[in-house]
Amino acid sequence: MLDNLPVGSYIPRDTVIHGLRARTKLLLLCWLAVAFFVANHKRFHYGVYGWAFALLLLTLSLSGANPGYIWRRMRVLFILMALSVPFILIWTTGATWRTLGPLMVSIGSLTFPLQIVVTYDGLWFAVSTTCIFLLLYLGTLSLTLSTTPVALAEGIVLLLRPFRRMGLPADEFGLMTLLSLRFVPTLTQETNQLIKAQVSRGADFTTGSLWARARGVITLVVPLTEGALRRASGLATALEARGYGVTGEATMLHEGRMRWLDWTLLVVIPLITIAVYLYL
Amino acid sequence: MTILVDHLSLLYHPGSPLERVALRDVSLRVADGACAAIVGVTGSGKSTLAQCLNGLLTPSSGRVVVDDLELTPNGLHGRELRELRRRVGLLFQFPEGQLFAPTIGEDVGYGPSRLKLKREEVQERTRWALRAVALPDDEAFLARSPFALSGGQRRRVALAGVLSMRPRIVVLDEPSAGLDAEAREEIYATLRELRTREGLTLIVISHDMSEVAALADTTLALRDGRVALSGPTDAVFRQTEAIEAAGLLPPPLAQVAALARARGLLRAEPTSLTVEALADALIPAPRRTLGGDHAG
Amino acid sequence: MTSSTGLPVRATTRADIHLEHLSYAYPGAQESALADITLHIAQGDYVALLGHNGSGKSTLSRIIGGLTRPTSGRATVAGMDTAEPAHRARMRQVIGMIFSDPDNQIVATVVEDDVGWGLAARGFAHEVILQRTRAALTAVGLGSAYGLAPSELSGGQRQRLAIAGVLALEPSVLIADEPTAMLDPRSRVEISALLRQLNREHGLTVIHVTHLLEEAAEAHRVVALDGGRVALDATPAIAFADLDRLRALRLVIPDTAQLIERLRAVGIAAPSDALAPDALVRALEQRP
Repeated sequence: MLDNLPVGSYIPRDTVIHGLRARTKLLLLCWLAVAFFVANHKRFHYGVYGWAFALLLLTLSLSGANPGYIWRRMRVLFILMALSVPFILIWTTGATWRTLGPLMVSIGSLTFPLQIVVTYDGLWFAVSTTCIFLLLYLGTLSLTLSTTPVALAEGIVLLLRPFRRMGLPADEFGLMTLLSLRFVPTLTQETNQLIKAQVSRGADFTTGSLWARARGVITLVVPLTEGALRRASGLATALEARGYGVTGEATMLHEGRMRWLDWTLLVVIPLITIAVYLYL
Repeated sequence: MTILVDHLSLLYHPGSPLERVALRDVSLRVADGACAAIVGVTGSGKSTLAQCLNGLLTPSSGRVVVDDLELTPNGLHGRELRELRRRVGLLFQFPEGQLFAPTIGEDVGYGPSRLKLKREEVQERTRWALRAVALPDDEAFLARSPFALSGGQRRRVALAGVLSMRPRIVVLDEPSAGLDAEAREEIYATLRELRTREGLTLIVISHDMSEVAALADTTLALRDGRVALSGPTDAVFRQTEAIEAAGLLPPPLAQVAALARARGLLRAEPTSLTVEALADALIPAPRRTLGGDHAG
Repeated sequence: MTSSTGLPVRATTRADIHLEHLSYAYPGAQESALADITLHIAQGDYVALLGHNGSGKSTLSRIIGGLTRPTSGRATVAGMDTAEPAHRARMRQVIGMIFSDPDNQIVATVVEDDVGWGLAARGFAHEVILQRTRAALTAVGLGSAYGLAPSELSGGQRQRLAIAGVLALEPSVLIADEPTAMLDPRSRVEISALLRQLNREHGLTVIHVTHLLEEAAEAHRVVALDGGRVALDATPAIAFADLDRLRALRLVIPDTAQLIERLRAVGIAAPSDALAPDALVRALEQRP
């Protein structure tokens, strides 16, 4: 049933991209996301998307990901996009580009004409949406491929630290993320065993009405929640005993200081993106 | 009810790069009303074997026979699978973690209610199961929350939840794990009662040899999916090197007997691995009677 | 001065423990869980806190560790009152605690991060974290476990990891609250041996809470609790000489102890604290 879910898709390697700080990669990904949505407004200008594709494909190849691996992971997304494109094309309003029809459609004894109107906006929207989804996927893939989950969590903590003054518990978020990552395999194993135990008593999660199956899920949700609360209590005691919350500024175990390459990329990539947006 | 395991083998993910042999040609026969132990370290295949016994896993070759039901590599489906699970109950490790219902009555009654029995029948079985594990069966107790009980009591409720399906065979995975010494003795007593009073066949999966010594007539030791040792528990425990080779620690008295034997301190072979028999075997002849001759 | 593992040979701070008229009652409870306990434990002692379920031993260990505040009386460690909030930071460094469930003590995704977590939380420098992590992992025998996830470790290894996490802070006292309760027999023996080794080789005070006589036999001193009071405070040899007294304390007597009792009854000189099979057989061999 539930196999051990790999968290993220981190593959340990020694590449330039792996060497970059998590903060750099996080900030650049956020920047690109913003750029994609801004570029959406400049219809039929593919500069930003093209530039992003080139950048991300370069990043992925530098991280040592092989094309077959990327393709396999993107297959589902491609299919999803292919399925949704027709709907986007048909249902977006605006200035007409092409019309299809009218076609005579019969449902039962009723016959009526159906006209499919494809607009310029629809066309652009289909293209840009597909691009954005694929690019965001590639972006997060290159992030998780080259960054350990712990470095990611620590990167987020460091980025959020300046907001501590406003009451944002940045360090606590870091611990929460770390604990979640730590317990995913444990909870998966527990859930596996719980499913087997309930199935042994006649629970059925696969057949039967939706309502029956939902009731079956109660036999999982309650014990898992109860177990999680017990764990939390035990963890809290152990953490307290280890001196959690005792001093202010924690050292990061994985996320080191920003280096020249990090700063350079943080300046250069946004500049190029802006340039591409303005001139292409 | 007798349960027979006939040359059972099981491969995980056959044909893929993750292929792993979990069990290799394991055979076992547990007579009606007997208690057998399956021992081994983590990864020896004992949990896999336990899950074959109630059809959670299907063997790659060989079969499991419970009376007239046969689990073969073709698997069992629908009615037959449900029947197997009704005959063979399986209690996992730390079973108190599977309690889910708002009341004890509902949790223990879950199994029988899934068997589509009438309400009175479900109630009757619930009460019987609670009595069988030495817990109260009155309305007040049935209405309590299972989460309000102690760890040992919750384990009993979980056991009752399996017993309420009226299995003839109960497979228990580490029944006394995590319990303090007192609660252990209580659970051993309950299990022995189940055998004598209800005639249930018990199969105990464990890596604690003291647990095995307390409960089982026969023992099967697994190592890397294969049978390393099998036979009457006492006889198996005498083979201390083989037990240690399987990664297990023999019970303390067996260790004492083995070490004493090696040092020539045993007057004779102890008749059984009990305190009395071992003491007898260690005491030189003239001193065997209390208050008798104390000549050196 | 450091040992071969890198951990100090002697505890850096001398942390004598003094309990004076300690009492504790659960909020809203009629009876006390602990009643008027007075006890002194010197640095370097190995004390077994023995008692049946509900005898108050865990509560006492948590008060000594500063996790619970006594309702009356005082517990001081290295001169500091454990209930005093001002001392909390120092207390958490001087006293290390491990609990029964190894899983609920591990916070990180890989072994070395878990050991380093406590040091990172205190803002130690990176180099110090690396060095102390190595020392702690070597001391518990997990020196080659770098990069492993907790789910890849056995129960016994996880408990050792929990101990390493505590050792990295270089405590003077190690309180182990039923550390072997969830472990298999082999791991139980290993953890007991590790505690003994840490006491011997690093001068750590060890307070080992247990209900098993065979574990208490490893200690220098057995303090048995019953009904929240100290019922017994003696060496294992003296404490286990009278098993009926221990039975009255609702303790389960292990097979080897019963065997010794029988042998002694017929005049064979078997030492009452030789509860480990090899120790017992060795003692029988050596008798005149």
